Amino acid sequence: MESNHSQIKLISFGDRIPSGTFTVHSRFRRTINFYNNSVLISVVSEDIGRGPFNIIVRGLDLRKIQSLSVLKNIVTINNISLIMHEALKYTSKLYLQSINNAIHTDNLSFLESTLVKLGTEKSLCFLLDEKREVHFKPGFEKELVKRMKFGVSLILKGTMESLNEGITRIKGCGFGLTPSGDDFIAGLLSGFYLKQEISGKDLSEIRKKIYETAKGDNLISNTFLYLAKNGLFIERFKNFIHSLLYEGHEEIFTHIQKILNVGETSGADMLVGFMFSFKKVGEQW
Amino acid sequence: MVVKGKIKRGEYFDSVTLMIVTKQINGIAGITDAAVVMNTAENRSILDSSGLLLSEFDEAKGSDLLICIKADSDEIAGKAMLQVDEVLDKVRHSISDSEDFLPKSLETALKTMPDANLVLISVAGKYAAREAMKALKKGLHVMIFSDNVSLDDEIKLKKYAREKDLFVMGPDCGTAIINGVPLAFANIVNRGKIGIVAASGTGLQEISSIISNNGAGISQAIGTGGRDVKKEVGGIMFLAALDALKSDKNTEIIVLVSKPSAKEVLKKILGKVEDIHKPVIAIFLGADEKLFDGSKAIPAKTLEEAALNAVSISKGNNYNIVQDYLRKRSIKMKDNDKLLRIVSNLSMEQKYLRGLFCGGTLCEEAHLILNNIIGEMYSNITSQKEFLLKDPWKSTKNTLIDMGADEFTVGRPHPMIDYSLRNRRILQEAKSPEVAVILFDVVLGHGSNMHPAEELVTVIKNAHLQSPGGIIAFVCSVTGTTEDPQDKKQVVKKLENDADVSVFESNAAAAEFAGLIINTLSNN
Repeated sequence: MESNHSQIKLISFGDRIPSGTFTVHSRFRRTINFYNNSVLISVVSEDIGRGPFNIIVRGLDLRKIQSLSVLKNIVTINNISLIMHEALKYTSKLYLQSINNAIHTDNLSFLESTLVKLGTEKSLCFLLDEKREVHFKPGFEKELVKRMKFGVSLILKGTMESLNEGITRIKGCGFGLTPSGDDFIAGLLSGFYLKQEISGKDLSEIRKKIYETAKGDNLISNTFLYLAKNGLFIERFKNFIHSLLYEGHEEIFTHIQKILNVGETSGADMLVGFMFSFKKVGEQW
Repeated sequence: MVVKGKIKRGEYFDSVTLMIVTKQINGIAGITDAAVVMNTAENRSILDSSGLLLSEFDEAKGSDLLICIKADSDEIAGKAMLQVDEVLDKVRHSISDSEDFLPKSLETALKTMPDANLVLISVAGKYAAREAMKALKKGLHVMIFSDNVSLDDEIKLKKYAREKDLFVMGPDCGTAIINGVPLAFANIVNRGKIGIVAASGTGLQEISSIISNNGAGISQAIGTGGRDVKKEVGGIMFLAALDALKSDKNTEIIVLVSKPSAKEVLKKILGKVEDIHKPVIAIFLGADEKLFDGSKAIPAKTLEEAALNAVSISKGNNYNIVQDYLRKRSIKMKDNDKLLRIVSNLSMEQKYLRGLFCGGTLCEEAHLILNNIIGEMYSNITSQKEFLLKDPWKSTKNTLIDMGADEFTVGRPHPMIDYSLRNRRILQEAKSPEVAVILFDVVLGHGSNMHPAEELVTVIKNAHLQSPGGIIAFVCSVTGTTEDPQDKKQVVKKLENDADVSVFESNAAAAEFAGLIINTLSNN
């Protein structure tokens, strides 16, 4: 009675995956990054979740993946070709319905207090609450705090020039594969995108300027920045935004926790940047 | 004061790793400052301000990792640098071996994953209860993989958990699949609409694998630990799990499985089944068939039958087709050319069977099946005193051994992981001129031996050489799926092609075939 069922299944693919042949960039437990020129796409495990550049495959040991190519609607991994059915495509764009400003303002305050409470020790949450600076040791870490605070103070001044200067100061700063500064900027860009969607005010120039200034030679950071600038979100972040706009504290709390699980500080740093785009960066934008 | 540095070229580590390494190094006595950061212009600028920038970093590229250590002496800095290398190598190795970083305490684990709601505890038995209670008090469900937890502690934990509406799976719970996540010794199976409650680890693995191999899938597979269905514990968690599956929207069919257990507990379980408006299939190994009189539960005689019944119902068929299939297979097995070939190759002296099992439930099941075919067997698990082996290290006549029993596992890894003890036993049995058949199980999945076929083929070839008859019939089943890390298909192929093992799709079928060989030999 034993049947020979299909073993390898394509679970999802992102809507921004281009055609091409890709080379391994880096390997982690649950992610393998591939690149082709300046495009980075990732084969990830199901728990990482869907994203604009993510491919999720079940039944294939991530460790054994060596090659990846995409041609039209076929993805080929280790010579195994899988059809990219439209139904499996993940849409990274946000589609917003009408927004109740009171809910979203209250939820932003909740986000801030939750970040201060739950954010990992070495994250940029000290920008929301100075007391958290105690977690940073004298030396490199204190210097990092100083640098970030100065950079952010420039961003807060509210002029295009100071914003640019601030971004230059904080980009590439910090620990991690994607330095904290880059994560903060990605959060800031996501926030600006959402702000534009909510208010209808055109912030495309400022988003473009921030992106151009922040771009560096870290392909992973650049990918995140590009996505944030264009309002393309991974599933976890999309769910978070949805809860922020339409749901209550309990749901937001769940989604904040999921984002905080991204990297050691990456998720928290991104949320701090997102917070700043709404609550801290002047009303001028 | 000295500053030492190093460039790791083109190496990517996630931020969790880099932070942990930095924290560890900063904690070493004599280290004043340390940073392990990606090479960005901005990070180099911060390193400069903090007195950690070295001229050698000028050669670093954007994708490189910079390691900088400021210490009281050259020696301390050198040692710390070695430690960084060691930790990063370990992480690199663990990525290729797919081993995850293991937090050292529940608190750290929760920090790493604050939205976790289940804790898997695998510490020495004497500490397990304390850790489990700690987790329950934090509102977390618990799976206790550890054994040697006292019965009193088990009852206390389970009662407390019920008050808080939480689950305690175990102690000695070897496997579970919760929301599609395989825990401990579990197989990679399809997701689907069949839920399992099991007071039996390998029983759950066998059933879930057969279900998956036959095109259906598992919604939840909840392990309770074998002792849960004993009189003293009273099935606290088995009943709770049944309740959970009863109200689970994704579960349409339920399979219950347990090793020999207390009659009153089984009655309680069957009582609860009456309130469930979903098909429930039950395999209570060794239980009196009369228990099922008037019950809504569909009884099964073997793990395979239970699994196939569930598959059949899930596909909208009548489960009677399973009976037909199994009956026809038995008839076919008797007329099998392979059976005749095996029997004709064995010598006149060879007449006994030796069963060497890693899985306790698989051993129990084989015991029941073989009792019906060839009569009572000697064993280390039988309840019949006259057939209980005085020395489990020595077989006599027809013998079945559960090599996962305490006498074999104290101070050793479980035989599902480490085959060395069973390998030695295979060679020991092979030397006996009276041994005709060696029946064994192979259990695949997470946590199990990663190279079962390679190890077994070598030992089986040796066993034939050691056998006075020159050949022994090796019969086995492979519990698992092609999606398991070991790949069932490859394991079966290797055992069949390289060692001429008769491999069957279920433990029940393998036991039946092994029994038929012995019967045919005695009739000849």
